[in-house]
Amino acid sequence: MARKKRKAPSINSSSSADLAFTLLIFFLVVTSMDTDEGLTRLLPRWTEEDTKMEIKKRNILNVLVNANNDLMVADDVARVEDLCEKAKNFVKAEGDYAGDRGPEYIQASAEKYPELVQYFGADVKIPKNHVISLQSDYGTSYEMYIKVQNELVAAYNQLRNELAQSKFGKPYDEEELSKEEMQAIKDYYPMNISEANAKY
Amino acid sequence: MGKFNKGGKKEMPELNTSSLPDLVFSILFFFMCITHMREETAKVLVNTPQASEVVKLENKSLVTTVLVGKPKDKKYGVESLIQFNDDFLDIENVVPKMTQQRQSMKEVDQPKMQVSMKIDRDTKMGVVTELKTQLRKAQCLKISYSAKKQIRRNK
Repeated sequence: MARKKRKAPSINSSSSADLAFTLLIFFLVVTSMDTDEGLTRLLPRWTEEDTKMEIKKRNILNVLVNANNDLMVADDVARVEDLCEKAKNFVKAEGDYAGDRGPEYIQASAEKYPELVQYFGADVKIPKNHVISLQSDYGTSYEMYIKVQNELVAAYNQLRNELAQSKFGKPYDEEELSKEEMQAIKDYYPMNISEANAKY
Repeated sequence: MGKFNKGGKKEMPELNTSSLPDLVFSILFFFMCITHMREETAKVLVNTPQASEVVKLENKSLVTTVLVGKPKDKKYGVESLIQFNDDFLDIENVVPKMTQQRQSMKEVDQPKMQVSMKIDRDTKMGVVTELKTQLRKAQCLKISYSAKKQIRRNK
């Protein structure tokens, strides 16, 4: 049977548009580029004179870093590795800071802390006046400073995580806890890190 | 009967080029995205420290980045300098520049302005403290110490 000369069938290209789109989407996702990460802080408002605050000595944990990058926590030389534990003990008023040496635990008012009272009851006590005071020197290296800051933030995160685990049975995470639960835990352990200006 | 390969050669099928515009467009889009996100060329060397408790800065349009580090070009000296938008920034000019930057933002976003400080790990705290003071004067109170994510070893 006689056949006509057949042309080779051309490649069906209707799907190449899809391909191009896939590529485009792939690159879009991949190039979300380096998202900036960091330790976020809220600086105090600028005032002409230094604002003086009366804080009881027992409510303060002094953390000093000098020009040689040595660390001192409350009158004692300390290692960076131990700082997290010390800060946790201080905020919890346990260990070295038990009883009168640690921060005061004060009754939280229902008006100011509605979420806290909602989950922890009306007679919940929180260390709301405690301050971790971080003092650095002009010669302190930034790397050391961030290490110290990181340890302090880690201390709070661990405390909050432990609390979330024992109270709600979930880790301290925005995706796990509801907004109110997050707020209650934040209120229970408020992050009070004071960054004093570096001294000469 | 049939002609089996009479000519001996079969023509090569032509490549369909109708999708070429799509492809080109996608590459175009790709580059458009990149150039939008392009960061200023760093004139200072910045190697940010590592930290485990970092938080992601979500809304990029709210974030202003300031770099601090030693200048790459030795003719600017070896002291740590501040860089903002392709230019070195004197410490006295931080307040006007930041105010200007804030005013260039959308009005609703202005109170949410956040300053990300990318500071080299070998910088001395003196410079950082001065910068922080100026930022406070400029009402830029939301700051972030930029750091690289690191997994915590203990716990």
